[in-house]
Amino acid sequence: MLDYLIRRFLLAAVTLALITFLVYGLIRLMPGDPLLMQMESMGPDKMPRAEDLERMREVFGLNDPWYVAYFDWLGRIVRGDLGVSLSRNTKVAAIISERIGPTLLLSLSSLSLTYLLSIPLGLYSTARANKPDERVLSTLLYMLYSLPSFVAALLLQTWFAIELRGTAWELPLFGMVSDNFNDLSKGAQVLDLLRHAILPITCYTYGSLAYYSRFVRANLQEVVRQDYIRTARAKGVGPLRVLVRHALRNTMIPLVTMIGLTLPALLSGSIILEQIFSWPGMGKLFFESIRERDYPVLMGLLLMFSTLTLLGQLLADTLYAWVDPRVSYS
Amino acid sequence: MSNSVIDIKNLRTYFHTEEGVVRAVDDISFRVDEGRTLGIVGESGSGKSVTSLSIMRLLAGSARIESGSIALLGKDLVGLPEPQMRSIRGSDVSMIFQEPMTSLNPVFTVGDQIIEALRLHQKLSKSEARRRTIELLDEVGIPEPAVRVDSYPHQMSGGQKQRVMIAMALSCNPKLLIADEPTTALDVTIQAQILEILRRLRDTRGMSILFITHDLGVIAEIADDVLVMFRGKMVEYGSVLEIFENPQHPYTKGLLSCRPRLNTPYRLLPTVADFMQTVQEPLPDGSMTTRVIETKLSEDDIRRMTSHGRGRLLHSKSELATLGHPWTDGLLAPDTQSVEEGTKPLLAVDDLRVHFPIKRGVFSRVVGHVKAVDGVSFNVYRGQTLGLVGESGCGKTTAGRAILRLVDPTSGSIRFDGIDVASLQGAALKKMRSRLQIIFQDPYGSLNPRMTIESTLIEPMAVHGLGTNRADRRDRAVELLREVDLPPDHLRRYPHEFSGGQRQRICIARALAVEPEFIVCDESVSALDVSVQAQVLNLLKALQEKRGLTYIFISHDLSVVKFMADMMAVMNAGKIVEFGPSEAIYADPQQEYTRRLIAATPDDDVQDIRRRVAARQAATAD
Repeated sequence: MLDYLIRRFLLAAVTLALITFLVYGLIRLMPGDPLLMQMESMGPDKMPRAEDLERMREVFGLNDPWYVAYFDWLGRIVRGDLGVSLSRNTKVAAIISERIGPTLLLSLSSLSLTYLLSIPLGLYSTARANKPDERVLSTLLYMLYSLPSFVAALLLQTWFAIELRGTAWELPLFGMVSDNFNDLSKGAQVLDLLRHAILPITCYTYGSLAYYSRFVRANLQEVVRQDYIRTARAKGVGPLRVLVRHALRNTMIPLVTMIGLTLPALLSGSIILEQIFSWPGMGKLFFESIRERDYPVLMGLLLMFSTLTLLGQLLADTLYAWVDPRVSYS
Repeated sequence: MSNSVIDIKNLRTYFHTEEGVVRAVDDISFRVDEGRTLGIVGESGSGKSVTSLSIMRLLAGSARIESGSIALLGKDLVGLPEPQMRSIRGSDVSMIFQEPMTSLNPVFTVGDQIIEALRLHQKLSKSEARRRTIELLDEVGIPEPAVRVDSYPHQMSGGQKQRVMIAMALSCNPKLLIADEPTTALDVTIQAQILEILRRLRDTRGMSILFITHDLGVIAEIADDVLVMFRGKMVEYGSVLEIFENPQHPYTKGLLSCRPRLNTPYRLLPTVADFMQTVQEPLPDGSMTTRVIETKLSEDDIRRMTSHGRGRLLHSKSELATLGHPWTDGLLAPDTQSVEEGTKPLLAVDDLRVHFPIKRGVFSRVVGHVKAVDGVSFNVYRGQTLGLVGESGCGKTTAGRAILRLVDPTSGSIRFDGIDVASLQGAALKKMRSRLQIIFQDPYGSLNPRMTIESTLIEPMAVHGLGTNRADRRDRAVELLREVDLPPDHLRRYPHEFSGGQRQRICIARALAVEPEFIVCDESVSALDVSVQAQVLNLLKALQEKRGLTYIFISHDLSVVKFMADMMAVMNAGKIVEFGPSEAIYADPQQEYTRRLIAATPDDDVQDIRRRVAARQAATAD
């Protein structure tokens, strides 16, 4: 097992270097100049003189060819320095750590909700396979699955923030906290945060809910056809226990593997949803950095996502060995 | 008169499919008395498994018991509510299945699975159930039961898993054990052990067994009474001796004679179709029934039918002497021939080794080898059939594939018609591939489901540049289908439209498409029903004579290999244990391993059955 882990880490380091190298190249070759972009956003009359611009480019290292700049970046990374944002003039590490919390709040709660709901849903629809209630449920879930989350987000916003305004059901339109957040008591602060989070979490959850419950159901239906399920029934095990004990344990194998693969998605947030709800998370940061050509922030984010992707795969494989006694890496 | 444990009267179980009603079990009646074993024999689709699932009430969604009664210990199971049925399953009647590999839940230890069965039906604490489980594992012959109780199924061999299944089935002392093809997936020596365990447990516990199988040899070994099923109907029901000594129904007669036995004198096998014809007739409810018309055959007819073909063709006498099986007149059939002294073999395999590396560590260092084939040498002469026989994992399949370069040999030489096959590359190797072909075991998996039979047959011709254009190749394909006894208008069809036996014929036609000289038949009849197996074996023999083909015939089934092969090589653990004329190896085995293999092969000699029946009667009279 240790040998296996060491090999995986070595491979991951090489993969990571290759990913960042390619992505750095792609970003730098993308049209647009970070300084000009910034200046333009301040207004046309604020354009600096050509020689000032040149001096700034020199300072930010934008005159070097991209592969030289990449190795500069890599050198700093190895020393643990993610660099400084071009547009915000703040350390990249500080920006990211400020944004992680809000994104995790959404993604973790939605992931737990998804698992908590989709497993019982999957069990239910397997137990009731092809009965009318199961058909209705499956159709509903499928319709939800086909509805894009941004449409649902807008619908929910019109309903809860506008139609229900003034009632007890009113929910905030956007943002993570109210303007008077700092004046509130501790309990009221938590409540305020939750009220802001309800709509984004709902939107986050429902799409993956349909996906996961269909996944659980498909896997369960595969498992209940297996010979060992017949064996269980032949020894007198009742239907519920067959499903929950004998079938579900086997369905957990692909399910647990998926947790590992969702790891990067947990932190990357949703660009669209965070934008719609003005949620100060990673997705929004990612989007803004691309727009501003903020190379250091972009690279910091990408480094983090690729590391998490690789770690997630490793986690998935490790969990796989943990839930399936047939798998071992020694 | 002893008490009946199970008494089934006029059972009918139908499948209600979209195409209509299928009478899977159609008016079956039988009873099994205390301590007795009833064997139900039949081919796939005969309804034997549906009968057992009807008793357990574990039928699939579309199947329903239409009428009849199933009395277990006097209680009718047909209308019993599900919760009551649940308390009977695994307790009064339990079941073991064909596939020990997949019948145990992979994520629980074997101990947990037996403990679960115990605690479902008996008031036992966890530790009591565990102690009982260890006793049960000991009873079915699992070594170190106190350790193995915590093993997962994948850590056990197939035979051990089947023992675990038996332990689980017996945990609550059932009155009736239903064994559905329990030894079919196992090696013959393991099968013999499992049969022995079942006999012993039956006798010590006074349990009854309903033993379902397609294998008459196994039936002869274990059953007191036999019920023969054919397309949902019972065609014959009687004591084991009656069935084997004096079968009445043409299907039973056909089934008994179409199976190669170790002492079969036949050159070709009679087939079930020789004994009877079937007519499909519609019933008022739209379902179909099969009417059987017997074809009367005399002993002479059968002798004439089965005596076509050439005699055995053995290695030269000098070579036989070096193999330790010198030419012995008394042992061999009178028309046996041997290759002329000095003839060059068509295929000469010398010290063939195929080792697969085992890799460990950070940099996948090779720490050892699995020696699948470990120094195998033999010659095959033109027109001969060499049999490779052995149990699973003995290396017979790998050896066959190495000869075709489907796996690369680690060392040793393979010379085909003087050419070193092991070192061939590129165009030369491709050219060689048209001379050497293979027919695999699984006729379902080895045909591409998205290709018509026409494309399947034409593709290899096109690859090897046979035939001038598509029309010409198509004509050749039609001819090939004729040669394997399939109607030519089947060319446009897809594999799923064919039965297993027909598919195997298509696979044979595909191998023949490139006009090979040499064919490796790798377990090519193992997946087929016995009646179909006989037809395919006859076909292979006929093709060999017609086209002058040379075969390597690989099988785990000693009787089939002996029927097919002139020379036989017995393999074990990557090595050839014994090599000689098939008749000589059967009549006078030189090696302990060969003797064990022969002894383990089920024996349905009437004299032996009579002796076993007498012994059983004497034992029960005490």
